[in-house]
Amino acid sequence: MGLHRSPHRGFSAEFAELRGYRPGDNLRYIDWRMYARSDRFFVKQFEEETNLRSHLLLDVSASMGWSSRPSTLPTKLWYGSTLAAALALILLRQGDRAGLAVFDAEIRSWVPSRGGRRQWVEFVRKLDGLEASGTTDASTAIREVALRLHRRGLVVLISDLLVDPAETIQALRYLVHRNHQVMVFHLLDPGERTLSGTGDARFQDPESGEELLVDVSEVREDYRDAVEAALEEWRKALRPSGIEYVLVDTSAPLSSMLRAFLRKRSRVG
Amino acid sequence: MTVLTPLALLGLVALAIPILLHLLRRQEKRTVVFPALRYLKRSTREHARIVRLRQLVLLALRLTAVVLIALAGARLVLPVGGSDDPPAGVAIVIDNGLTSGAIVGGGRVLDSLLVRARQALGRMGPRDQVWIVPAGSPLRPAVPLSPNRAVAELERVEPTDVPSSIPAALSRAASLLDAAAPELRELIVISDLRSEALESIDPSEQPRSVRVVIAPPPGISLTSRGVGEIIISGGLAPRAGEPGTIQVKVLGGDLLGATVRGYVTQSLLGATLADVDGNAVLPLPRLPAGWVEGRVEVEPDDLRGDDVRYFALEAIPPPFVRVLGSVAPFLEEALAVLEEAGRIRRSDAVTPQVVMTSGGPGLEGYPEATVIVVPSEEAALLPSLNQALSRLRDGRSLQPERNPNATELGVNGGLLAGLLPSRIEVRQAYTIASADEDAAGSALLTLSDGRPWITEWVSDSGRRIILLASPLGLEASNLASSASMLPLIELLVTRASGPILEGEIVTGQPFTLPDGAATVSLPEGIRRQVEGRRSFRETERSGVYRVLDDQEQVLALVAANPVPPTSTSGLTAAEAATRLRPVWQGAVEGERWPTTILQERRGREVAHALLLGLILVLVAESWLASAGFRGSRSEESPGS
Repeated sequence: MGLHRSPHRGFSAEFAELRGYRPGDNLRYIDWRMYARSDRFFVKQFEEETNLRSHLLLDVSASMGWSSRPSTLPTKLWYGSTLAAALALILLRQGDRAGLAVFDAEIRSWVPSRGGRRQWVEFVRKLDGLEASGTTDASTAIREVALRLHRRGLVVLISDLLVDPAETIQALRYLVHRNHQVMVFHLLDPGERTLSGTGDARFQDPESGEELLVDVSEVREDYRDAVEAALEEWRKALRPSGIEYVLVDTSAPLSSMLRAFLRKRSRVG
Repeated sequence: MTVLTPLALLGLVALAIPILLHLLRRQEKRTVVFPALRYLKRSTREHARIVRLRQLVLLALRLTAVVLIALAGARLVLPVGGSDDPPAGVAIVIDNGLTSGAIVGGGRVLDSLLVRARQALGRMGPRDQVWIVPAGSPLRPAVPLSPNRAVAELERVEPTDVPSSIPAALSRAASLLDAAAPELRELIVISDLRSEALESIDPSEQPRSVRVVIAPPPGISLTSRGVGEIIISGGLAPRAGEPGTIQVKVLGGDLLGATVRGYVTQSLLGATLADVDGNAVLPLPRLPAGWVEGRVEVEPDDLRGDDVRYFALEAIPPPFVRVLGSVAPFLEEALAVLEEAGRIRRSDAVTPQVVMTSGGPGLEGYPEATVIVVPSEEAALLPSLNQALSRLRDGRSLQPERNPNATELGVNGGLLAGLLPSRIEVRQAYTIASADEDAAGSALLTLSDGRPWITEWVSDSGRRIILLASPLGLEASNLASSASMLPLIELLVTRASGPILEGEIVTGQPFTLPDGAATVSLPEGIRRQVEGRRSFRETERSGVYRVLDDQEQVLALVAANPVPPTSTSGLTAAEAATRLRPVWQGAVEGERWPTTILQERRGREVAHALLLGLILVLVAESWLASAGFRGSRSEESPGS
């Protein structure tokens, strides 16, 4: 079980399938036995187990530093950092390369994609002590990452997606266009999915400082509908483009979430 | 709208509590950091405005609750009548009598009263019936009106010179209400409450239970000085061509030095000053024969109505008098004195206008003349007098006194009693008997036991007869030796020589019209047709009323004068109610004017309605505060 199977057919040790010979194919891989039996040239194809280049993009904007229950529930940043570290560990252990980009409105720090155990140490060092601040501009960060990645690979976005959906989706599609495999982990605090409390309250956006006076009881149902609609919009916008979308509830244990995700990927193959 | 416990209104101070709480809560509104504001904005684009609106509505509901509690505690009384209540009948007695025309503080007293009348009408519903009863216009018909039309009717009310009587006006108003018989009825008195306007209460009258609301009077003190009485030529009938005097009695305050002016047919007679008692004398010039009118004035003050007093008199030539038969020597002497003074004329060559006799001959001759019958001192001649009287077929006779030793009687009543300078004591008097109790006739003088002493009537043959019940001797009475002898004889002769007409009346009282009267010209020049009428009643204005025949010739002049007020300050409403209560038991002073009007209908306490409203407000407040506008949605909170 791994984070990924290689999408690229290569000529490695593990046989994959036969196909008809085309001019220009390496003669080394002609299956002579098949030739003897069928009097036709077939070329052996092998599944390449490559050293995958993966890049983890972690959103560290101010909204990520929020927890609906600070005493019992981690912030989205903590959850995202841990998730990024876990994914990096998995990737590195299966011999892939992993890189890291930490961004808010722009890329704040960059760890080039490398393999090896030292890379994990570098990851942890970068992830440790991150603080949520600033506004989010995911699309700019994604486009910048796309420009920095010259070879195709896996791009994993870890964010609460409190961003402009249209621009962000366009940026992610651009990554796909550049032949990257893209995954999106959408972190959602349970307090963001359902409003709690009663009475009037003035809600303040930690990034923009914008305030809104509402009666919680009054808007609770509409809010829930609005959140579900937004999640559905993300889902519908990303999946047709081949972008894997994973909704992550920060109240769920990270291990169980990760195990369920990997099991699902292994089934999909 | 009234409150029965005004102190409870202090509870309205509690209005500050919800206002302060509202302001404090606005300050203390919790701010929650919430990153997913974009989702919140998607669902609450208009919500913040609604929340603010709801907070204002909540504040309004809480303030309303405080107000309702305070009003319920204050025992609010509201005019909750209207369309559901049966229409009420209200008669407004408005005092437009003499004193209402006084000018005080630049305005008429009546104007102050009209303001109160309009306030009273403002308390009535559109279906109520209103009668406007002007106390100073007793003959003015009152018809039921709507409150709106009654306002217009009030504009037509003007001060008159009639001495108003509130009890009389109340009786008239109550009769109107009795006839209409509304379920709820009320009388309202709007007056300056002069003492004399409330004096004519008859305690023997049947008590009335209808509610009478007395409006508070304007509280105006008048300065009034008026002409109280005038006596022309000492009370004797004026004779054409003879000079005379006008004795004037000025009433009121500050009499000394008051200037008195006299006029005859618009010509100034002269001016003089009143003495300390208010007496003044003006000369009366020689008058031509016929009707003469004039007036006496003092300087105007607040109350102009009594500053002028009118008079009308007919100056006639001395009448021809003839004595038939033997009469008492004192009577002969008196006639001689009057003749010498030019007050009468005696001539055998001229047909007399007046015949004086003690028996039969005078009653049968000179059918055009008026007969004055003076019984003889000889009792034996009484039967022959009675025989002569019986021939007239009037059924009258003189009957001997039943108790000849009766105590002396005084002459203290009758039409002429006030004109006599001294009191007459009667020791012997026949009883003037009449077979027909309903026979027309008037007692010119009556005795203290009520018997007529001098009676006047017109016989079936059209002859006027004046009959005395006593001989004019010293044994029968002291008249012959008193100062009243000459005036009485002259009064009798004058009355006998002319038509029976009142030369002066009190404003508002009717006067008898002479035969042939076709029109009456009012003091202001308006004419009224009076053909076929026996009396004229439209005498609200002081002045001289001219009675004309169909040839426009003056038949008579009648002077109408007000009775000067005796009080310059009015009663309070409470004092007036006390005076009225022996008869008008439901009289109440309008202490909280005009809210006491129709209090039975409008005096309902609305505490129950207020408490019900309070409950509704509290329910609405609770619902709004807890569930919001969409209270059907209830969402449990996963945590706080």
